[in-house]
Amino acid sequence: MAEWANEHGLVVYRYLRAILRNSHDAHDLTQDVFCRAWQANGRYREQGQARAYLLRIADRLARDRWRRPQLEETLSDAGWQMLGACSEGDDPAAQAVRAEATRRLHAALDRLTPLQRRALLLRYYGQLTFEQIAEALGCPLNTALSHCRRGLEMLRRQFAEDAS
Amino acid sequence: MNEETRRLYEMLDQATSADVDRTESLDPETAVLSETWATLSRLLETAYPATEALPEPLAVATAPARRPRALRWAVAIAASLLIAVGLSVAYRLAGSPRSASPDPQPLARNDQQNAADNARELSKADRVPAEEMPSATNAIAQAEGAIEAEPSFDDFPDQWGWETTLDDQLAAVAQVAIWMEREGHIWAYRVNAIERGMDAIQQDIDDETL
Repeated sequence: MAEWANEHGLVVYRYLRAILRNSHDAHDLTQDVFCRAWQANGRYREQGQARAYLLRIADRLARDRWRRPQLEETLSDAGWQMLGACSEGDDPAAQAVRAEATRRLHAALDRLTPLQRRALLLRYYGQLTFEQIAEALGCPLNTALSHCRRGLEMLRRQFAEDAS
Repeated sequence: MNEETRRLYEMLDQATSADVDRTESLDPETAVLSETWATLSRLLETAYPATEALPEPLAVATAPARRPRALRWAVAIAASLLIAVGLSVAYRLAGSPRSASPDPQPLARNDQQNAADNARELSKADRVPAEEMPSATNAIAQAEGAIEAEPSFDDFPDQWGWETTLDDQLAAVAQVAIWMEREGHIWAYRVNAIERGMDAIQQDIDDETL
């Protein structure tokens, strides 16, 4: 399990970070992912597909987190960045570039359906095959392919609008 | 996988592969998707850079490997057997009146004495001619005689009085405890005598001598 954490911990964290848009929640869920994986260690049969296995757990946990009603209001990462910009961190120019990229990314991802967003982020961070993505989403292969294609087309339109 | 699905699979696989710099070798539709994918990748890397490590190292506990399920079953069965044996021994010891003795030697001595008594009775029965086989009354009288030979409570001197010292009181209590232990043995012996008498009656019935 320690080997898995070293090898795939950052990938799982980054996927959750992009899905949840909150580094603290992503960190908490990353811990949960490895706890769940350790508890289900005896049932792991997919040798050689540890990354897909961990990302599937992460995706399920993230989905549960969305469904759970938010009991407390948390400050978003953008809010933390605004606070941090006045005190410490990178230089202001780099922070501005990053804030603009984050805004564009969120605007683009918000136009996608949750399934399209999950499919594309699983592909990007996990380098999963489309069969593995279909299994993680719980849908047939051609449906997963459609989610990816329509998601990319939607992003292209959004980026074109940004450029204009 | 039909032809259309296969074509879409290959197109998306090329467009979203990690190597996004070779758009010139792609067909126009795949190239457009690949450019979109590259833009998304740049935004993701800028917004959530890879250098942004985990806030702290993952605390992964190194637990001992789980035992195989079959081994766990074997351990559970062995533990159950041990508990059953322990309960059985405890029940026997608690159910016997001799269990009050803190010294295990008397238990062994009583068992040996019982065995010797039984052997003596059997050898005595073997020596008796067939015409003098003991009837049920004789057998019981024999057993009663053996019981009478055992010490009774009246055999102990009455040392229990107000003027008795603490040591003497303790000694008297110990003697009574010993007598109680022997009483238990006597009861067990009495049951054995009744059983032997019943066996003798059964033997008489079988031999048609009764």
